[in-house]
Amino acid sequence: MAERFHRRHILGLLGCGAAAATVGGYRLISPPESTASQAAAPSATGWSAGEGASQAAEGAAKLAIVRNGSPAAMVDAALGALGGMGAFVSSGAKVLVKPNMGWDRTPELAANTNPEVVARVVELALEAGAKRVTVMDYTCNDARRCYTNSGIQAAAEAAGARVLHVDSDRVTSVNIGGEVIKDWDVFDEMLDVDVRINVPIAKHHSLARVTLGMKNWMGCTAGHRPRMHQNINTSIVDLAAYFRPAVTLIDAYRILTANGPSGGRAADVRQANTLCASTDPVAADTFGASLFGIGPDDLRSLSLGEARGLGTRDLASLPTREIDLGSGA
Amino acid sequence: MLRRLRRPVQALSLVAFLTLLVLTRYGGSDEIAYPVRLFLDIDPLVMLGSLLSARAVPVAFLFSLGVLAAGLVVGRAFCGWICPLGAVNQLMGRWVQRSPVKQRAAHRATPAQRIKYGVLAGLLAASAMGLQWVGLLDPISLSIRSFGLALGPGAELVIRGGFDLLYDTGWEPVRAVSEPVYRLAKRSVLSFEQPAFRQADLIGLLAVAVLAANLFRPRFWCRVLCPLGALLGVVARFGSLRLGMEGGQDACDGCGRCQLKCPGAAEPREAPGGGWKPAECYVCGNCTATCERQLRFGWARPRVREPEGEMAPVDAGRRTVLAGVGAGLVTAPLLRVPRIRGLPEPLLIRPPGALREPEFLARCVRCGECMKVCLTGGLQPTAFEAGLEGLWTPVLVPRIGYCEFNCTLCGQVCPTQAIEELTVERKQQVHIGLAFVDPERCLPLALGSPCIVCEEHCPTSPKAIKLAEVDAAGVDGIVRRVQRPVVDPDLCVGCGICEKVCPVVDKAAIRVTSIGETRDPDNQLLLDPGGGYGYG
Repeated sequence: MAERFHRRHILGLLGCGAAAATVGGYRLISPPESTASQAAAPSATGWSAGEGASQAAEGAAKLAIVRNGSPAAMVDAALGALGGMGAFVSSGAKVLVKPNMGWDRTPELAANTNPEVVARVVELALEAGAKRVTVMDYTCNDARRCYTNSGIQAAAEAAGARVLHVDSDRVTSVNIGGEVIKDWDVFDEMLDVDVRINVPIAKHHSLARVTLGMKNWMGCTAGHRPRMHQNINTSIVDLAAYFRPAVTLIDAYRILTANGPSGGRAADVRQANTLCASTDPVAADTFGASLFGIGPDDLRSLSLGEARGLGTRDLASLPTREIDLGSGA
Repeated sequence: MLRRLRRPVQALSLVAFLTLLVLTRYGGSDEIAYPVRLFLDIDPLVMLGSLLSARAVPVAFLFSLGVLAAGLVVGRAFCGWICPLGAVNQLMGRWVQRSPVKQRAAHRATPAQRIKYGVLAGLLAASAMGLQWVGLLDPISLSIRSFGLALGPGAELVIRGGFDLLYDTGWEPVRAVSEPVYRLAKRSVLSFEQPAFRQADLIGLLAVAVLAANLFRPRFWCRVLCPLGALLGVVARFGSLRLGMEGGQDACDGCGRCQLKCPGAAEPREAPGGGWKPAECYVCGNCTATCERQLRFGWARPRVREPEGEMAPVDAGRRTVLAGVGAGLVTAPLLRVPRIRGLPEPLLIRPPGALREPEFLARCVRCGECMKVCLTGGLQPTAFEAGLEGLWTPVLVPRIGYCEFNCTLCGQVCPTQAIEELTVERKQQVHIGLAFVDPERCLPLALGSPCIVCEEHCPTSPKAIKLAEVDAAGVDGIVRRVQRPVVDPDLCVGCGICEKVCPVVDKAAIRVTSIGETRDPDNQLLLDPGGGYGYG
């Protein structure tokens, strides 16, 4: 990045000199070596395919849809149906919980993931033995305001997470290996993890129609990411193919139906009282889109994601658990 | 005794100043929790300048009357005990070693010390004519601007660069130490992000010149140039503080050590040829601490002689003052000439709550508090957008940083209410400009490509940027349906987030200009504001 180069230059003037600059060339995190986009997923998937995952394969659902509970209770039920957090997080794992908290809005305005959802996921990951759980996002509004007013920083820290701000001087250019996204700077703290858990909120978006799980990975990319809008659906799938999560939980406790993704008024918020979780990112987004009346054939990122082999749009083909906490209680 | 008390007070004051400057930032709450503009509130020169130019000052400036009143009792003690720039100058002066001959010369009063009265007279005369330039040279305003916008960011560049180097070694044992320290630094002394200010080069060089002048004469700025020092010097002249030898001139052996320790060249020695000058004395106590006899401060005691000597008590120098007044009276209208028609400046986007331009300029002291506190770093010191008259006043440069929709910090820190303090609700109603789409550069229109990044970020509800479906040809000649951004001038507040995030990263395809700004009824577009854009 130009800015860092500039700093080194200044230091060079101060006498740190060429030796220091040479040392500065090294990096801890080397980009995951990959040639094909599907193989590009970093070690995150390696953990999810561990012993816990094989347990989950027997009898556990691949898609869980929970309704009419508190945000935290719906997380518990959904992950329970998928075989429990232990299916995804092994003891000693470094976990990234990636909410969407890009906007300076309160939880009632449904522009950011519900803080109780994030906090519960953090707690469960720690209970499952995670060494550390990191919560972070590259925000659109001022990061401090977003972290504070989304309620996520306070809730996630109380739950035991490290809540970090992105640092544009702590990035690594990685080979995303996508169709349109080749090399891109990604924040190191989001790379140095064993397990990624995707925790987006379901929202309206004028270009992508809705923003769900796969698009949420834009929050891990530094630099001029608005450029991705030139080919948004392929970009979304490129990123989703790289940042493969162990599990995606789509927060639809409240959903933003218009004026998204930033929102700002209660009139555009619908209380959907729903949460879905899936090991299949395409299936999770397919269900999320259905909340907006968008069918599996009506959202391009879904068909592209399926064609890329990231998952299925055919929800009927997946072992599914539907849980209604309202009637059950 | 006096010195032993003064040193910790002076150090504490400098630390307090720097701490408040660091705390001039978002701290997790919509309100700034600390009295970050305290030093400006107690600054009588800013008060006086504002009173003359704007004919109004905020209530907080009552504190500064206290400083003036204190001047009657303790002279220029403010300079020696409180002023942060004075403290830095004093430190600088201590580092300089001179031969005994030069040392004596460096501590002798010179006629040049009159210049500051000319500076003061010029600034106040200009203020009376409506030109608020006091803040350019007021030491508090100068310090906040210099440290906040230039020297501080420069120091951060080096500090952060050091942490970057350690990080980039990629060596885990190094990172295990450096990264926690870096994170702690970012939460405490460093800014949230590396600050960047246009004009920081000039602002910084001026500050460096002020500091480097100590190499020539100790506290050169304070002795020769400082307009606040001059103001307090005038007060000290009428005050009751006196310095003298118990037992009078006969008791002084004329050793001259007091003079060598005097940072203000106030000629403390009692012997013939001396003559203590209250207007030059910072009451630092160096002289009394050095004197082996009985040199003492007192309050107009009979035994202490009246100030006298080869110079007048306040060596203002009638000619210097007259020259200053003349310069001020000439400069004020001169600087008005370029903008005499008062035409709206398209790129002069003032912060929300800024008064109408003439009133704004009459109040703004260019301290830089609003720029320091700005969440996105978008508030920048002007170069010539507002003319020389408005040099270093705040302008929003959306490409650098937009105005955060829910934020009201700039109005909270402004010492002179050049930027009114607004509630969040009111602030969200205030328009600071209006965005226009540049169809030659806008990707959907120019290249037939999808985008909508501006619309996505627009913070108003409903969004001021609408999307219209239109046909546009791509570079391949194929006409496609694209979403074209259209800005509703009734809803657009001019925050500039659209311009900031526009993927056309050099010259944005959507840009804010000042038209529609709430503060100026003449810089408007709409026939029926609030009624939407009509298509009769």
